[in-house]
Amino acid sequence: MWHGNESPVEARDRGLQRLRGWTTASALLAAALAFVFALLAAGTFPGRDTSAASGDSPSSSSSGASVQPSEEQPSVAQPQPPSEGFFGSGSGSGSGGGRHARSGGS
Amino acid sequence: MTAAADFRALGTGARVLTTDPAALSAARAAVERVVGAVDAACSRFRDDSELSRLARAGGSGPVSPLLAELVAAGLRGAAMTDGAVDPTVGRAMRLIGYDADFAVVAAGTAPVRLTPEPAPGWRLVDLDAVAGTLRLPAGVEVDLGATAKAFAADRAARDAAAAAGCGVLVSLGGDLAIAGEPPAGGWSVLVTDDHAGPAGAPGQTVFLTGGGLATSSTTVRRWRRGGADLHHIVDPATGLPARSRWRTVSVGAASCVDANVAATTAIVWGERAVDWLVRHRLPARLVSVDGAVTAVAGWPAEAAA
Repeated sequence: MWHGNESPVEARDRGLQRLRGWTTASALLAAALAFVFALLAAGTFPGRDTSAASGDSPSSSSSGASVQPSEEQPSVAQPQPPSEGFFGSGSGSGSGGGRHARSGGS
Repeated sequence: MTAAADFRALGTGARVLTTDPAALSAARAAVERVVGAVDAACSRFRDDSELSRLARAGGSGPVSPLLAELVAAGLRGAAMTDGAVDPTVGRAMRLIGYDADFAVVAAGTAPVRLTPEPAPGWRLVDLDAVAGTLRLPAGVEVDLGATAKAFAADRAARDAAAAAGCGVLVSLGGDLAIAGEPPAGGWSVLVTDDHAGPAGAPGQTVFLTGGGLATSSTTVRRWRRGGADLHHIVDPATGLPARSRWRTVSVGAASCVDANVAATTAIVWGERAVDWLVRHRLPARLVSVDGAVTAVAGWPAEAAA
């Protein structure tokens, strides 16, 4: 709008200044929204360890990654290491009795 | 106080240990249920197994959820080893004479053809677990021997611990899976060449609190045909028994399936398996053909003799 005591040049400059303000505000708003959405996405979708992501997955597999042997097999195509404390602190030797087993070829 | 039960399963020796002696029979029953179901689903040596019936029907058709899981475990093993353990070695196993229970194979005398013929490859196996279908191209024969026994051990340990309500260790031919609370200090396990070897056999005793442990060895299930010494660990790249610098490899992992796949892979790959085991933090004990022991990735040092 051209005010009565304002020259066309001044009006143009004022319009351009207002436009610049809107542009800056829009950029800041877009950056803020992108940050918020990134946080939401990171919390919503599970990530994947790149060290465990290589290799082809079978066309289908059982599911439910876990370090417990009683759980289903993990679906990632990488062998899963044992959990901390896999080796116990027991001592002694022997292969008989109710606490002993053998692991060997069969 | 712990208790143990020994019996035969999947053509090998089985052992179930429980931390509560009163729960042993419940644990054993759970193990026998799982083992029976796995055998009925995927045995190559039973005409009435689901896998045998599928093969007679051309290799394609609907499959039970259990067989789908077993095939998926085999495919996963192949995927994580780039095919070093491949379920499509069925034809190769048959051609080297391993086409029946091992007692029959060992007694056989018919010559075999030892021509290098790579396995067709696991990527040809088309499993749709959601639809419950399996499709195999003509000529592709599946052998789940490298993973099925370990799968059964994992599943049996889980079910046995639930049924018994206590700590359980299940050993199927030396493939071990542990579930529930272990005894103080862990289960005692003698790691050796042959799970059925004599008392006092050389090896190392370790104590385990969970997960799985498996051993692959070329010293067992050996037979001779036409002057050739053969064993049961086939290299999919050649279709012939693997020629390895290791005679026995034992690996610990989160599950018995992963431990068994890793142990078999180490036999097939030989020296280069060491870096792979370390990279994946899989504690392993590797015994070379001359008896030298290499321990990696946190495997306990052996006590001095």
